[in-house]
Amino acid sequence: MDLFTGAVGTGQVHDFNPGIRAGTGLFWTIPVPEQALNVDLPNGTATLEFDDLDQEDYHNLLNALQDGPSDSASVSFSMKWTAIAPPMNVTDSVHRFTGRFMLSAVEIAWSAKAPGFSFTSDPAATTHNVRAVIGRERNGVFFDE
Amino acid sequence: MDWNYSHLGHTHFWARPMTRRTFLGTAAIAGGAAATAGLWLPELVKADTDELATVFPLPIAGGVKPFGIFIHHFPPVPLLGPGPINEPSQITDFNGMVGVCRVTGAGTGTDLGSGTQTRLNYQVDNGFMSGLYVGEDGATHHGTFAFV
Repeated sequence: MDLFTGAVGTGQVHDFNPGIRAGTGLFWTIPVPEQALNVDLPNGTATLEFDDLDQEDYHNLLNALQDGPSDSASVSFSMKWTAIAPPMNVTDSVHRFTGRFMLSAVEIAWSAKAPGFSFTSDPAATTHNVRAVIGRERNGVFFDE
Repeated sequence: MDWNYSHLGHTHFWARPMTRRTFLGTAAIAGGAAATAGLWLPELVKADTDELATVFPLPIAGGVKPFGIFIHHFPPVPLLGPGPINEPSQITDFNGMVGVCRVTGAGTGTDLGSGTQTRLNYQVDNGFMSGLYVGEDGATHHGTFAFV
């Protein structure tokens, strides 16, 4: 979750993420309580919500990818995916994943806390969508099932 | 479970002890999931537990190289082909529900020392994965993960 003083991509001042797992390279992915997630694929919706989720503030992407210095931080957010297109079957044999997916719109309201700093986003209705997807996926050993 | 993300110069927040209750509860879920792996295909997730997965998944094999640094991740855009979407999941050996997004917007940052407020722009790439996965231990588990 990135903050910029200029347009997105310009003047980054905060980069909140949980870090890259040593040894495997698992990217910015953490186990979370199942209660945080509600998915209803038949109705094309999903919600993900956290209050004070511990993160690191690496301040910019390059520093984050290099695992440079960081500050303890936390984020809270409530986000909702809503399908905006019919389900489509996708099989990508190059990257070896398959599934049934729906292009979606996301609304998010979020906040962050870091040493000496806090951030509160504008209301969820102001979210600008670039790309969002929800669905069901199989990959790896489950790809050929 | 090894919670170590082993970063340079700082200790990560999730180096926390795992309770016996959490471990036993999740182990029971994992065992049940493994036994019914071929049948476990729900379209709904609305959990009534706060269980955490106790074994980490493995990352997808592919990825991109921002700043020349390889990461096991495909951003939602630009589309890399050949399919109409990039792989949404961050984890491999996975069979479950997934979501990912890239959104942008704006908000207000506050300097807590001076009280000065500044308008800032944001980009958020977030997602989730919930279902069956083969963990670092080689066994099949059930778990929910956030990409943040």
